Amino acid sequence: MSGAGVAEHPNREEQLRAIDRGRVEAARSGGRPFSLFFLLAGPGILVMLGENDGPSMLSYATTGATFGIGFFIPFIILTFLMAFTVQEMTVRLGIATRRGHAELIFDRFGPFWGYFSMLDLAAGNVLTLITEFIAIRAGAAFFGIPAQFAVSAGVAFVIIAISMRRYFTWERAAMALAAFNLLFVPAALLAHPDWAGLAHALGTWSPLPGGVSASFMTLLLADVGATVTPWMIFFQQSAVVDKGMGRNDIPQGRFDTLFGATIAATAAIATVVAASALFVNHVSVISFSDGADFATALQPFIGHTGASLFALGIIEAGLVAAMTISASSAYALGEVLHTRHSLNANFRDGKAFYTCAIASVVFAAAIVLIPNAPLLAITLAVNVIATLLMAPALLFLLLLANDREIIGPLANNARSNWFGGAIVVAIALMGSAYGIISVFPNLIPK
Amino acid sequence: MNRDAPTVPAPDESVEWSRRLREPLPRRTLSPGILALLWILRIYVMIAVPLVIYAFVTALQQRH
Repeated sequence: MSGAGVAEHPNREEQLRAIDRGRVEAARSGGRPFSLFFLLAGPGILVMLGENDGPSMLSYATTGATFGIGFFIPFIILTFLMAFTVQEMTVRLGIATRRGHAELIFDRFGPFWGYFSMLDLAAGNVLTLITEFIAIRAGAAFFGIPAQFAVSAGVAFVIIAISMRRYFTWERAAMALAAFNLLFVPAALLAHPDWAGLAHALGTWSPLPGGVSASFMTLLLADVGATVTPWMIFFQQSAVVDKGMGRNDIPQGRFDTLFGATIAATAAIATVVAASALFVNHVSVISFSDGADFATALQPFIGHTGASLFALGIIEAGLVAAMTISASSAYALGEVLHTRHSLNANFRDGKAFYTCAIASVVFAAAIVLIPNAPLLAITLAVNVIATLLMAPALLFLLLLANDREIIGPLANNARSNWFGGAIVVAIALMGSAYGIISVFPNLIPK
Repeated sequence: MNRDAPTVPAPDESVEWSRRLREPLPRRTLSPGILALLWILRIYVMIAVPLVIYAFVTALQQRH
């Protein structure tokens, strides 16, 4: 988290991190496991709930409205297991090297791949941030809140949280907000789900109405893309380092990631279940473009309360992702430029870091507010970029997780390598297929 | 007594940590297998980037 111009004495960033570490050690030596987990939780929960963002929740809602309760319920659990396997590697990498992902690629593979990864991340993050503000605007529209007010309030929240200049405060604010991702659970309960059907789906991976079709393939791949994206790898590794996690914290880091994946999978499944009311009542969602469309269409079936919870969930999804994605861009920029990159740094030392985080949010929000901006084109491009460029990010992750010179005994063992490698290959292939299908939709017969 | 009272590590520890992080890691020695993988990745990127641009331009044109 340091960079050029580091003083010989602990600065603000290091002092704050030392205080946080002191609390962790006090909890550990005091034999308080819950307190220890509370203090060390954050990167894993935030990365998983951050990825349950606006576009992802729309993807799950479309899945539920198109296929109902069936094959996709266990499939979503599988995608989050895959996400856990991928993200767990970033915990070990961050703890072993105490460096972010961008910095490791730059140092170990040279400037070409370093700049490529940075550009890949920057393009994807800026466009994804725009879609998060589209989600915030759409969710607010359900309540009749003007777009300018909703988007400005979202920007203000993100900037205020960053401006605290305290990683712990920023993390807790984001986690408190992320808890609202579970609003999709009561929305699902208000849809009066078929519990027997849910249990049947979990046990049998069925039914799959219509069988394997173009829309099935598209949603299958979109749901994979909704679970693992490049920014997650960069964010969690940087956050683990900024939090100052050490080797003794690996079990808590793993549990944090698993816990986050469990909550995120629950919210994702709840979204499918809530939207399955549209499938049961034969409501077509082909023309739907945002969260407000879903909330409005669901209102006759889950009531105004359920629809409001759904719309609030969409706002939360966009807001949490705006916080985590802007932080991931700022961390990566600081790592590549070798300037200070910590949410504990003061403004002067972390000028590039804070400028990047704030400017990216303001830029994305401004684009959303431009009349007639090509938002649909941006949303499509986001999906394609995130999925097509997932393969390089995953390949570098796997190579780094096997780089014993830097990760030492925390490197992947043979079993985790085969398991992780298979997941990386599967995600890369599915992601690439989704990207190609998005560009050439006529490749699959209707 | 406050059980949560933080124990601040010795300043020398932080300084040493910062000093180590200032030093860039050395370039990795790439085996033939990894070099081959990176060449495959280069080819993949050369195909993927035009696809991304094509997708964006097509979406823009569909809007008008």
